[in-house]
Amino acid sequence: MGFFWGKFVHLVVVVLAVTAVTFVMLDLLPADVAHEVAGQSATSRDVAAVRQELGLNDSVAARYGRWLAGAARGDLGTSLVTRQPVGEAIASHLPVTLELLLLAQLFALALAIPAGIVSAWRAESPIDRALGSAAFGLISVPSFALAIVLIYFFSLRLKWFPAIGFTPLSEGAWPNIRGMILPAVSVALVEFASLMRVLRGDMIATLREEFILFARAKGLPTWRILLRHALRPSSFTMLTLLGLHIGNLIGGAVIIETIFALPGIGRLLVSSIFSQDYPMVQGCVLIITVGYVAVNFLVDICYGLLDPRVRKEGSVG
Amino acid sequence: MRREIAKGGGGMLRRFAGFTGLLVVAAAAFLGQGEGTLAAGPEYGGALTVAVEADSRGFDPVKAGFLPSQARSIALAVEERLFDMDENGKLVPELGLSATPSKDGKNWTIKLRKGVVFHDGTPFNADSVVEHWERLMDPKNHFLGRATMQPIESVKKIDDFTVRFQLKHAWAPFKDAIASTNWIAAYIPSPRAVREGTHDRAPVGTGPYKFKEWIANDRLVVVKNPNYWRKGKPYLDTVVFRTVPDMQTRFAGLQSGELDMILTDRGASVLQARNDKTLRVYSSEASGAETFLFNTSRPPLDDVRVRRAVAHAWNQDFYIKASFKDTIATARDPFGGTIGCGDLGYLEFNPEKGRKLIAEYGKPVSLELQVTNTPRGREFGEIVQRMLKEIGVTVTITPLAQGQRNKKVLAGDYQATGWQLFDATDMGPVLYTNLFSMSELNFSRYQNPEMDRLLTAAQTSVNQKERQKALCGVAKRINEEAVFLYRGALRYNAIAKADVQGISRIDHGVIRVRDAWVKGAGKKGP
Repeated sequence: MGFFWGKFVHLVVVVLAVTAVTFVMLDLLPADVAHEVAGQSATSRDVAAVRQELGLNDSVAARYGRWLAGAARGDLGTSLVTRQPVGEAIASHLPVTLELLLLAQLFALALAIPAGIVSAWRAESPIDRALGSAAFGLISVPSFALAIVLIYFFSLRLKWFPAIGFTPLSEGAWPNIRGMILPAVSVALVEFASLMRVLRGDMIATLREEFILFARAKGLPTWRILLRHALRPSSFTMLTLLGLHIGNLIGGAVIIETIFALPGIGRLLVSSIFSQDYPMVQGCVLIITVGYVAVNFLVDICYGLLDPRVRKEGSVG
Repeated sequence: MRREIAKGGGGMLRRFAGFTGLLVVAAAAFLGQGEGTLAAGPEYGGALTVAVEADSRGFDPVKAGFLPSQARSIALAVEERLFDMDENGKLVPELGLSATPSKDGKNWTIKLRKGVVFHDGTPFNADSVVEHWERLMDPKNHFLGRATMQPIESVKKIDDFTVRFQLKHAWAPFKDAIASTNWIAAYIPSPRAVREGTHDRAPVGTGPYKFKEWIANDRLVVVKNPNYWRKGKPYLDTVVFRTVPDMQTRFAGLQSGELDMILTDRGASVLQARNDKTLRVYSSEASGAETFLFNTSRPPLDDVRVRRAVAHAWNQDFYIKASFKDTIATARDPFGGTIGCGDLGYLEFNPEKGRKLIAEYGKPVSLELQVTNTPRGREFGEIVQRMLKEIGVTVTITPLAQGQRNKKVLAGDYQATGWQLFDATDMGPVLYTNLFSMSELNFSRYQNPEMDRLLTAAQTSVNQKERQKALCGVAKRINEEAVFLYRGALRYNAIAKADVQGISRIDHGVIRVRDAWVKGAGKKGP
């Protein structure tokens, strides 16, 4: 129970800190949301009226307090520019980002685990070197560059996947997944490389352990040793990385969502920052922060599941 | 308005540059028989997916304030105005049947169309028009466009299908106020949807398409209005307006087949599309211009000699070639070919003259130039820097976010900046708000009694010839006094798949989906 309370307090502190800092930073930006709302042909009187109406004349602290009080009641406010309720906007954008991140993680793991195992098992062999070079190549390519290359080959040349856009699940599972494959792969390939390298390193260390030698001596087949005995204790670093990477992934998603015109949280955040639509930015930041902390919390729990020693020693987090 | 429709094989167009004029005439003739071409085989059914750069802001004039260019095609699909306007600024009946001005030009009587019903079942009549305009004129509602329509004193119902607009003084741009596609107030919404507060995000009008759904940042879907009063229209079952912010993605979407039509201002895509047989480029020259704005109230640009020197150092043609790959035209006046004025004293590129003027000024000149923090903005800054160096003027570039730049310009806290003069069918009101000495939007802070006289004449005169003379006078003064410089004419470009038919004009970047149909959609009847 103490474990959960500790995590919860941690979450509250992180959320307060992050939203407060975002609020202040947004306020320091030279752009002015009143000008954005009023448009380029608005007079200074119009802008003043807009500022008054939106309560922008209050201090940052007062506005943050007002936002916080609302958020605590579950009311995230309404967008200053489009007047859409923030909660509603997030609810419609979040599933897209979740689907993208989930698929990206799945693709990354589906590639990283076999590749990592093979590399560790055949360490220093040509196949290991080839995989290693591929991984370093992918790590050094930004996901947006990869996305453009993928679009060129798979959408424009081969016409296998659409170049843009999101098809709601209501229009069928395959059209939905089909539209998500290229964006997810763009994010996953970069992710895959680091996961694979980490798994390889840990696995090589594990394969030198005595219990592996013992398993071999018992005459167990190689695949069984690799999958059942070596993989589990070797996946800690990879799992930690998976949790920490959520931040990177969200960063990548922001760009990928713009390139593929996916209506996700990342794009909502970017367009809101440009227009200084602070209720919307705050809402997005809140969701991303909660998501980040929650995923890392899940990772902590997974340690225990993977290796009972962690639970007993209580050396979590 | 001068307009050019360039078809797919645009490479040819360039090769035979000498025959461009001929082609324009041919295209115009082709357009002239628009109805004839349609009669040859519009097909019913199918869907059209149009991509725009940014999401809409909303459709309730009081809440949204104005209609950004990306939302105009949507507003036009769902709602209608009292009148449309043809290329020559003549009113074309839409919800209104006739508009008659009084002798003194101080009131306009408008007869309305009978038997039209809003999508929510509310009948269209004089009450819908009066309620809409009174709401916008009510100071309590803080409608952002109130200043523009300030000459309108009242809107009264005469009978169920007649209304009268009472003006404070004769006001030539009144036609724009009821018919411009750019002007959010011109679109008549369902009074019920407005009263219930739903119109902003689920617009209800009398137009050819009914609003279906709007997924923010993704798509806005409209479907055929089966009870549309123009029998036989529209042709399409569905039109999807998708928000695709990245230009390259928009173009890729068009090539890979997810999109049927896109709007763009990128020269490279337009050139590429012109050489692609499966695509067709539509272009429309607009009035207004990309401008290079000066703060004429601050030294050194308060001195006309310095401004003229900068004008002589500025090579507009080079800039258009470098930054727009020659896909926009040179501007020498703000009218985009809508009025012919003859010689307007445009200051040609001549660094020698520039150097002389700077020598005459007698002091070293350095300028701070604001640009937007976009690749194109920075490019503009660097080009200006290089050109002005030729006449011994040092330029420092300050890249700013657009909102911040607007703020500084409005406050007069700048020396020179990249800017834009918006396009309108009637440029009179735009020039008035941008140049009249007392106007709050006189961004260049230009004060000149003769300019004020000309602008006022253009605003109040109802004599077409006199107005034109005044407007030409304004344009001439802009050049002679170098109030601002031109960076190029505005041009709207749309690229569509070749099987998209019925698009006759895209003036002001508006796609009129009412007349659009798709070849191969199948059905010949509604």
